[in-house]
Amino acid sequence: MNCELRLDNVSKFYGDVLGVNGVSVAIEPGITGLVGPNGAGKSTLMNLIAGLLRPSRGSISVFGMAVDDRDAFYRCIGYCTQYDAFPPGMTGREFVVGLLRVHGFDRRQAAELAAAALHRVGLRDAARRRIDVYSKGMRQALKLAQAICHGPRALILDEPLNGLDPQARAEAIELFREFARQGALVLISSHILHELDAISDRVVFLDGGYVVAEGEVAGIRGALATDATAHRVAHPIQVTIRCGRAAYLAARLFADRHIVEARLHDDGGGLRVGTRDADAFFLALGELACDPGVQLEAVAPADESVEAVYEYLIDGAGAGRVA
Amino acid sequence: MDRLRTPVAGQVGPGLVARQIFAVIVFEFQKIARPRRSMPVFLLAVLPVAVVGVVAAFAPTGGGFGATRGIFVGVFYNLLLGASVFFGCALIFTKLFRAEMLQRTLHFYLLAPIPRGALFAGKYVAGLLTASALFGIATVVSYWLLFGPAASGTILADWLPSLFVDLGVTVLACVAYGALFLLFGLWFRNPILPVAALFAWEGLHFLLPPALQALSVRYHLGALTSMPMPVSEGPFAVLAMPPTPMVALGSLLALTVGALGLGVLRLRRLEIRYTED
Repeated sequence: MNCELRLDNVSKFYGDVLGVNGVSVAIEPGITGLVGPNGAGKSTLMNLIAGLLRPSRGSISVFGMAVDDRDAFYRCIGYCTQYDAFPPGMTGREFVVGLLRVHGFDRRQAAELAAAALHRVGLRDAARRRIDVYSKGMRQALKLAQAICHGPRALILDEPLNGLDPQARAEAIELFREFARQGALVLISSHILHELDAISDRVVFLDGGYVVAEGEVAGIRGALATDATAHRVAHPIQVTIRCGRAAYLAARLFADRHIVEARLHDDGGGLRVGTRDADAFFLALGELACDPGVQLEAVAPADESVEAVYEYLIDGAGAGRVA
Repeated sequence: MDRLRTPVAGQVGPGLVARQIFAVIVFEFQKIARPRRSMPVFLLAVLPVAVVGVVAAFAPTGGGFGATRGIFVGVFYNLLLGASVFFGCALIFTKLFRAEMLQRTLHFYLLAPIPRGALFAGKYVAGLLTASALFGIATVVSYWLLFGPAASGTILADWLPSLFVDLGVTVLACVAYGALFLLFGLWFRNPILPVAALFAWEGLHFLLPPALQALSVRYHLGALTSMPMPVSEGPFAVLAMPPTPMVALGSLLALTVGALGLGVLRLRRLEIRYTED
């Protein structure tokens, strides 16, 4: 596996207060979501990755580089922080050009790169206006411009969709996808779970400073179906089925020992079933589909989403751990 | 599929770092030049000029260059160095890092591939150029107000060297106070307290035993001005031999290097935890 961001047993303590503890993850290029409730340690983890905090224990590398090699490290990483603040009195263009010049670009290069970045985030027309008069969404876009202006290969984005209107949000998501298509590593934390669900290739779930699960959502969801711990009950995989004779199908399905629950839809035109063994269930369903009395119309996973997994892992069950 | 290409920032090594320091200086000038931030410092620079102007308007004529210079040195030492440069440098240098921590903008610098020592140098030089320019101009204008209108060839030859000496002392004050206040801004969450403590120390240093007087910036600056400072500063003053110019200069530079060194160490270990600031 081509892992470009590695955290090896990383812990951060603020005195006696735990930031994150024993975090070991390896993240590949592509889009990875970082999910957790407030205080879970998401921003601490991102600040650690970006070198704004030093780990109390453990090590972090991005593309094989540690933060000690500042020049190489910060040329390949772009960080959009949660802080909504800019130097007062500057225009958007002055801000981005100034930072690019601190990177070491000459005046012409800095102007070109700044113009390109501001254009990409939709701030071309507002570039010469003072940041003080920017809206929340424009400020968020400017933070994105600051993060991408030097062409980083790893983008660390802390709540990057906050404050963006729907169109700007769609454009930002497209920007992240474009970076990922070009081989970049994009790590995004967000509270907007359904959007994260739509764009993330993988997700890291964080709670109480610990990584409680990581990987592809479907894989994590599958593990949750059977993996009960002292802190968490198992959650059968939920599947929604639309069909002609829902009650008949439910009766046939209950003959299958993998089905643990079934609930008919109010309109009688379908049902939702729970199973602990998805493979066996779909095999059985495939056989039932040949039954002319069933009249299958649609089958879809009902809870194979970041939101559902979040609810099972964090909202509902406390801090168990999925291996 | 397109692959990402990270733009290359020109030459590497010392040339790159020099360009980065220059960029920090320019960036800082943009921030310092904001009226809200620069106005108090500007007023502090104008204050001694205004006092000298009033003194020049009402001073008795005919006392010669020596008498007029005596008036100037009093104003220069006590007001310009003792108050304007001190508080002006406090306002400029403590804010270079502390204001960015309070505004939550310092991380933008720390996310750039610039060595932290170079960032520190860029900010210090930006503050030093600003302070030196403002208070240097204040020194020159004060001289001109006192001596300019009556300038003749002899007097010009007499006060021009003094001007250069006192201009150098002003810059040296900015160098030393600037380094201390930059350190305060990095080290203390509320730098007003150490600034107030230093002001008290500097203002009352003449009451201290000679060994402790040597730990004052003003003590050493006084030994470098174009005219010796008054020996007694009141009934409780403790007399101390002024240092030689070389010792004074060496002490101030050593203090500056020490403060800057500590500041760089502090910045290298700095973490961004704005909630604690």
